[in-house]
Amino acid sequence: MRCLRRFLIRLAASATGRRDDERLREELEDHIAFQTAENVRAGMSAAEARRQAVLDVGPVEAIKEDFRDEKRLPSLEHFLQDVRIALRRMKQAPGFTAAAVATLALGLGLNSAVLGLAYAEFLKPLPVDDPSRLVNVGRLFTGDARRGFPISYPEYIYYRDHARSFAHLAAHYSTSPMSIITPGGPFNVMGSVVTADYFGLLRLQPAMGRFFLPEEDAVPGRNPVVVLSYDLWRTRFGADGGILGTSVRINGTAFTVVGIAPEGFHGVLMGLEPNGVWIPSAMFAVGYRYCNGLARGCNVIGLLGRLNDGVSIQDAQAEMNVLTGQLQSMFPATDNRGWGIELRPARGIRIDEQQRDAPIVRLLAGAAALVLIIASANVAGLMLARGLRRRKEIAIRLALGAVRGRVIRLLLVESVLLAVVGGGAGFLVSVWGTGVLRGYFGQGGVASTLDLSLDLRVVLAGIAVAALTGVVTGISPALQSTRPDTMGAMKEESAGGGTRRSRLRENLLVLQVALSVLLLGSSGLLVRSFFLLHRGPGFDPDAIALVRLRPSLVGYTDARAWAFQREVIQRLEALPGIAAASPAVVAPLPRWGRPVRAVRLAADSGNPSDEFRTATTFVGPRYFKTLGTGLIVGREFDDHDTEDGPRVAIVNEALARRLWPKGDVVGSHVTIGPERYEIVGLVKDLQWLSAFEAPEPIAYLNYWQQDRSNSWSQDSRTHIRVSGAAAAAMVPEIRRVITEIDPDVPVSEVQVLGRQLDVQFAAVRGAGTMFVVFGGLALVLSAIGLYAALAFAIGQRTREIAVRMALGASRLDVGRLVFRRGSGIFAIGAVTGLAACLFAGPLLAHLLYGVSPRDPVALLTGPLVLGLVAVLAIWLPARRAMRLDPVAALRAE
Amino acid sequence: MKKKTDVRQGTLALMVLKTLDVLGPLHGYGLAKRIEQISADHLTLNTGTLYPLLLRLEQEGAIASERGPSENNRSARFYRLTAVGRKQLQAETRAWERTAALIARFFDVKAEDLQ
Repeated sequence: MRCLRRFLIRLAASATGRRDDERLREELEDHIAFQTAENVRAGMSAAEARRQAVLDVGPVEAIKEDFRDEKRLPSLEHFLQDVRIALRRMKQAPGFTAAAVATLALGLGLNSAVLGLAYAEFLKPLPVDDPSRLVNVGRLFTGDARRGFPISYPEYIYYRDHARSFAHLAAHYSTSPMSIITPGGPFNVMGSVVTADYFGLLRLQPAMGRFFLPEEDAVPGRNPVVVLSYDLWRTRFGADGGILGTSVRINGTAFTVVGIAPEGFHGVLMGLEPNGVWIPSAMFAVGYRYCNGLARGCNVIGLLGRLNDGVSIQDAQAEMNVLTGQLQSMFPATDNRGWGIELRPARGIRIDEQQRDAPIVRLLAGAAALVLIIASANVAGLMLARGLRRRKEIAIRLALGAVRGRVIRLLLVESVLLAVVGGGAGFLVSVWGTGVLRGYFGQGGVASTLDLSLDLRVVLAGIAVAALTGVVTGISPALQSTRPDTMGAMKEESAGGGTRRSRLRENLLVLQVALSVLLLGSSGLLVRSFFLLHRGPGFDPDAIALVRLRPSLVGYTDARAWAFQREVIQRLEALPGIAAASPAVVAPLPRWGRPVRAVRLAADSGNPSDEFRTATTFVGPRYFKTLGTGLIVGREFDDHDTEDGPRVAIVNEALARRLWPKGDVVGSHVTIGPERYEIVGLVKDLQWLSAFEAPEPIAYLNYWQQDRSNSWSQDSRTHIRVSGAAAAAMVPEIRRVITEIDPDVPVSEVQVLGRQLDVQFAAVRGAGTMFVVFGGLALVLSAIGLYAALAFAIGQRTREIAVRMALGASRLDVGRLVFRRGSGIFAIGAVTGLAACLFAGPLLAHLLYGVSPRDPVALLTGPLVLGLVAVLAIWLPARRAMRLDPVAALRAE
Repeated sequence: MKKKTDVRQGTLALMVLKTLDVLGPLHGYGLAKRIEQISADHLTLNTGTLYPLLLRLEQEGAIASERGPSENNRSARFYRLTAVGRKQLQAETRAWERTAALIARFFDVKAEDLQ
């Protein structure tokens, strides 16, 4: 308290800034007067009395100094003084300032954009009250630490009824596709099936109406009530104030609207499509259809808990482990061994997506850090060069009695100021970078709840990084330029004494070149993948529209679902502009894992090595015509392959090579389980299962010959090939045809296949784009650094070169001298960088598409460009050295 | 200046407060003389120490000052103890007494006392 009061008074004194010594002068005046009077009383003469009094008081200027230091805040004032000097210097050298600020702005801006992404993906809490007590509970596969898997509703009930650690434990299935029919027309949203205490747990207040009552979530199927999101209410229902109590159809069932969620709440899964509606878990059958969402063994729900006060997540974890053990011994059949339950703070995006994105974000962060290091090295090099030029000024400061620490501080203030200004300008860069990242990471442009808006913590972290950068770039130039070699420096001596300094600068350059080569090489790999991705998986995804039909959601029997699908295909194929349509259980390059069945397959040869597991999937007649790839030999499935007729299959080249290396594929037979299949066609290896691995053996089986009770077969994807124009234009027409047949059947994911692939490869493209930016920046920065450093070195050695020339060195000799030095630096850096590339390549492997991590073309292109730029950067100063007029140069000294 | 080595850090403030407490408002010179007198001239106050200290105490709110007429018809700045200063004085006095008593026990201790 006392200290604070004093601090404020001193701060005020400093701030008002008057050099006000009046009071002390008065006091000393008085003091001397009293002492003089005293001395006179003691018998001295008036003059002697005063002289003695003044002597007694001591050195007045020193006292004033002490007094002033007490009165104000000297450290603050010195600091402000430093800042003023630094600002003045920045103004004096606008070119240097602009270069340094721009360099740092790019480095810092990219870093804060990546930092913001990392924060949003891994750390950002849910936008609700007291989010720090919220935990996600998910199944953990103890074998390989895959986590975040859903559990079943009865397990939830057991945990909820027995766990003491939670104030609330709610269950939710937040990725439920819902087809909603309103008087204004049908549309699809991502819905959520939640238990009644979900909203209470989140401590939300409805914007209108109410949330679910416990009794509405008690009896399966009894209470069709729905809460709408604020956004949905506004965009689809015109913010209708009278909406409560009205009815909407969701997946064919009429629901009553009871409430509107608060603005800005989009569900508890960040980074996915926002939830538009919530229905109670008792209505699970409307939102999930592959199994009974309320039954044991139907693992579909996620848990969200709010910990009781004073309970740590470890305590809760221990309790849940015990309960999980009890469940496993009670229900050994459904609760498989090898699974545990895991509690994690509810932060960031969904845990499995965190696991998916972590390597990419780590890579981006690494690359951004490299760019920052390169930028810092560049600025440090510039400062070092400037420090040399300022040696005289600094030497004079030191000679006049400035403490070395104070001069170092002055120089550091300069560099930190540069960095902070750079950080400010970097803010603009980060806004741009965030825009790029948002485009790629929130579901590739689909509306997403990934919130990349600026967070105070991210801003603070950015400022800290900026300040740290300032210190790092400033410290070694500052130490170097204040070496106590005062006399040498004051003697306008430019050639000598600088070896250590130029060595430091050269090391910085080597580092810069090495890191740039590393970045350029890695970017090369990603850019090449990028182009290969763009060329596509062997078929043109932009000509194919995809429609996902889900008749089972509205209670179709399997027979009716199939009839419906056949009718859809018939009508679509009759449309002008549509070349072919064919059903399939999954789309090519499925986003979620590999939902294709691997089956044991055996050729007729009887050779045991011809019996192995291979992937199979079901596609309809004219599927390869629809994809546009056609067959190598044989025929497609057609309408003669009836449901009960002989089983037929089409294989790809990889499978054919393995089973029938001599050819004769068509007409051969394979056995899958009890059935014998005739091979009717052979197709090329397509990048069908995974975009990132070489095509593997796959057998395509006839869609209409699969087991009809398999629910996957009812919720098919229909592929539609559009002739002529892009498929996107046909999407509304396709939707209209289907809703004509039955408006209740949910039609979702009507989009062009290319669009879906964009989403799948969004992260790779995002990383690729950023890497191109990073690599380009590294290229420019290194070139500037190389040029500036050499140009400066030549400037420093003007006299030496002039003497050499005067003594008979030819211009060529001089040019060679400069060139040798520059190319030496570049060569060491480039070799180091390329070696680093070979180590870094495998880290990128999971992002590469069709490129080996050691692909020489991809690795060497960037560095070669850098080499060319470097030659230019070396050549300019070398030319200047060669044109030097020795007489003029020596006379100038 | 080193010869004037005088009081331990922090103790001078206590002396100033105590002197003002006992004698009432004083000007700087008077305060210096009184402190020297009380110390039986064992202390010589450095002007360069005293005035910055007075300023600091005033900034902390322990003393207040205003100009007023002095005994020889000069005007001078008089310092007086404030309520805050009195409380601070009491607290510091107690602390000093405790420390002094403690140290005294150590000075008094003999080997046989600890048998």
